[in-house]
Amino acid sequence: MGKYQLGEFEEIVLLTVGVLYGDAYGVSIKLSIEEKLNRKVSVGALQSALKRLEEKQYLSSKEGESTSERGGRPKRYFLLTSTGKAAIEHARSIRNQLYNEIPRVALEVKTSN
Amino acid sequence: MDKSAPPKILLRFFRWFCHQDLLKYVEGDLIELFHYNSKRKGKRAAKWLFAWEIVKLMRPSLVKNLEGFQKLNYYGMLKNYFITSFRFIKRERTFAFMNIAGLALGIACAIVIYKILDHELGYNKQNVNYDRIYRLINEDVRTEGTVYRRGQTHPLAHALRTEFPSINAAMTFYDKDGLIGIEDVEGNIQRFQEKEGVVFVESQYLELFTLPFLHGDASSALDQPGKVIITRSKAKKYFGVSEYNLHEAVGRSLILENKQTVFVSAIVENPPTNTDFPFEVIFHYQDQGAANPWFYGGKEWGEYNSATNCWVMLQEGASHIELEKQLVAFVDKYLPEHVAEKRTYRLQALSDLHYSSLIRRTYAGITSTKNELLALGMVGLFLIITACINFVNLSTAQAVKRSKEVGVRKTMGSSRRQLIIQFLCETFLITFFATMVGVLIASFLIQQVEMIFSYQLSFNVFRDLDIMYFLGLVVLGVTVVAGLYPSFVLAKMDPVLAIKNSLNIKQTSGFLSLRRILVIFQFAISQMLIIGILILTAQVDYFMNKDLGFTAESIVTVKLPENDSTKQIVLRNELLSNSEIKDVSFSTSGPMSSWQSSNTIFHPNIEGQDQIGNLKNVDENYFALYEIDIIAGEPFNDTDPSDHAVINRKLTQVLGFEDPAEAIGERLRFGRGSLEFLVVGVAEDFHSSSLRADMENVFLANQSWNIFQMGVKLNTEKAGREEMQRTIQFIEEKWKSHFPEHVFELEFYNEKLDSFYSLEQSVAQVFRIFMIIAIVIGALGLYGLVAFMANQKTKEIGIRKVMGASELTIWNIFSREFLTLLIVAFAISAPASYFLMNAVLDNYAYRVPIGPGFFVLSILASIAIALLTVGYKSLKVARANPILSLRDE
Repeated sequence: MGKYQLGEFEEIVLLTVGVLYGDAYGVSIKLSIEEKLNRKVSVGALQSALKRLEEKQYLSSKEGESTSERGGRPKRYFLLTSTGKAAIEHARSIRNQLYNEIPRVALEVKTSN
Repeated sequence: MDKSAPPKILLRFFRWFCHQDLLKYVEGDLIELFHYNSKRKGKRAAKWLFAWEIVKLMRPSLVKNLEGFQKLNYYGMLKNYFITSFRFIKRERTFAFMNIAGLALGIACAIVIYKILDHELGYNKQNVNYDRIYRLINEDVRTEGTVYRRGQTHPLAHALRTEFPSINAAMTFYDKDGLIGIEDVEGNIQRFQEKEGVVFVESQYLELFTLPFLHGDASSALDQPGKVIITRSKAKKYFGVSEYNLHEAVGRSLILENKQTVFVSAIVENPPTNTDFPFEVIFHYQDQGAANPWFYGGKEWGEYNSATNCWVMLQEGASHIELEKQLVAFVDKYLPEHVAEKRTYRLQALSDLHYSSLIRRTYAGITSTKNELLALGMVGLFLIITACINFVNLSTAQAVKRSKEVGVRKTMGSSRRQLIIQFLCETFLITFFATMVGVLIASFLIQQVEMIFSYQLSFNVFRDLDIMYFLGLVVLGVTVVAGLYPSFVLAKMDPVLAIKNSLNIKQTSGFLSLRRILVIFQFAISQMLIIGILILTAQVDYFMNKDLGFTAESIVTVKLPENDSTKQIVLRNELLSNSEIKDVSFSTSGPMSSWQSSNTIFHPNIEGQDQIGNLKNVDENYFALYEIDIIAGEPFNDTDPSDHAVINRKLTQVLGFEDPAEAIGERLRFGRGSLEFLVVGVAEDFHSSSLRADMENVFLANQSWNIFQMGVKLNTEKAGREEMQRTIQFIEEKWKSHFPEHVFELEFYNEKLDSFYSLEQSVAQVFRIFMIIAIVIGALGLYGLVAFMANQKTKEIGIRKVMGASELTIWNIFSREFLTLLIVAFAISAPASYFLMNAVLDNYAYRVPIGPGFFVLSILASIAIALLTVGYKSLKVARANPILSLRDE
């Protein structure tokens, strides 16, 4: 995985940004992950993941509109970059490849248990 | 809107720490989430969640960095302060060097003194029952005043335990000379003469005092005689075990005084360095019969010995004053009437043991009183204050030079506060460097102090958290104390005047300006230290060289393990066969000795008085060997009856005889027993105890008991080192042939006598170090003052020179200045040190008079120091070309 460094949480964030296409900012990403994966996400964890992803150039960001609900603060929208897409593809293909290499027996044993 | 807004304080806090780049987005997110949550979960929950999110946002990647100017102006400026400070230090090397040197010395002293105080004040605190343990002290009212003694009778603790079931008591007997033998498998016995650490204790001792057991069981370690507890290091020494098989020493046997075999029941940790109970070999109390000939099974109520002490532990919350009251009846019940009527038992707290001025000895040696520690702390404080004073002086002296810098800074819009911070930064840097240098100096000084006092202070800055705190405190304290005044002076300057360079810092209030007062103060301190050291050194010299009334030259003393008169006669004859040996004498001790055998004297002439006499048992050769003059009668011969005695001149005066010869033929009773002496001779007074104490009433008698040592006079007139060595070897061989089961120990008697004053010598040595440091700091201060004056008077001097003043006249201006200061300082220090040293010397029965010589010497010394420090600087100023100082107008 030398080329594309991607942690588990980072991967989820990256995928969610892709899912939310065009509407991905702090709160929406957080709520979306919490809803779909049923796990708690703190703003701190999310923001540092986003920062890391942006530093790795998997994400780009632009300033969005500010609403009164946000105390007049602007949103920051995230978009997948092409590197980011490649990283997701890469992660996915490696998982598939590994999954396919698992001998049948191992899976059967597991299911029969 | 406002009502539903998230808590302001939390938001403010968040804004404070959050990274600038992320701030507005994340803040928006947080506020949005807050509203989202308050709709779903209610406001309270939303607030908690909000706070929790903020807490979790504090991660390194999201917190703002501490660097760069774009984040907070504050840090950038601070960085600038440090840069300018560094530049300043680099530019003004002499100034910085002097400041750092002075402060470093002061800080080093403060560290050393802190370590000493820390060590001294920690004494005995390792005992869990520290607050509840007391030592029983005898307060006896005698004709010469109230006397306090620590020696007790053996059955005391047992009686206390029966009378007062609520208290726990334990006896201890300390043996200065324990002979320990270890038998190996082949049956050879290896012997160790233990000069310290051997003690006999009742099993209750283990309940009172805290001993960390390594192997063996505390409850059964001393439950019966025949058991002994030893420390880790003794286990290694005796049985050759290592850390890993330490437990193998348990159950092994050792032989006490070649008489009694006891078994090791437990191994304990080595005693800490700050304990008054440095016990390493702890026997059962009943086993002391082998080592203490006056033990008599521990049943005697009349047997006192300063090595036998009684310790009690009160119950939690019980008052020792209450117990002292109850002990009054106890004294009447148990002690014989003639003792009881004069005696009160006092309880000395363990927390007071090391600092008491009543009894200044514990098992660990000399103790220190709180006053002495306070004095030491004051010296440390003084040194660091004088170092700070120097800093103030030197910095304000620099003010003139820096006026342009300040002027420019002010014109550029620097506020007063900023300038003050800048100068404080400089001070901080200098203090910081000084502290690092100070730590180096201190670690060197601590080694010296450890050697002088045979202390163990263990100085390690990086492992000792307390010293870290202390150093932090020193750095901050010195920065504030030393930096505040100069920085205010500098920051206060009028920028216009400063740039025009016509600035003139006024001397405040005439002659007694702050600066002068400070220098006077410094000089007074160093002069006091000089006078004190001179007097103390003179006193030690006096101790060493005073005519003692006997001679100690060319005499060696050897301990006698057994008192066997036939062996003594044979040994003496054998030794005298060597031509290098002039004379041999057997006695209790040398004429001057710390060993006392004291008892009350009874004679019709002194009926009702409590006159105490000191008895030394000696043979007929004693008088010749130690050259003790007989002024009346004759010394006894070994063939005379054993009640014949020689007394000293002082005792004849006490008895009321004008002519010593009148005392011949008198009979004196010694103690309440049957011991009675017939006076056959009178000896000239000689010092029988150290010169700290007065002459005593002395009996020299021919009793055959209490013979502990052999004095041997060597023929040293033409003997070299090697011959001496051979003679000593000869003595050892002969001695060994008679006492093969003992360890041979030989001392030179005059060295032994000198060692009586080792405390005074050590104190003088340590204070000599402090004195040198005080002088250096004072010299730096004087230099600062002259430098300041020179800066101030540049123009004055220029004009004077143009008008025709000679270099000498100019130089005079300066020397007059510091000579006046020196003399004013002397007027303060001379009387102060006179009274102080008088009080110190009053502790000694024999003391040097405080003559004018010390004072003359000290003022000469300070003038010499002053000339050395400022002579060059003032000469340079006097010789400067007036054009240079006058041209810029």
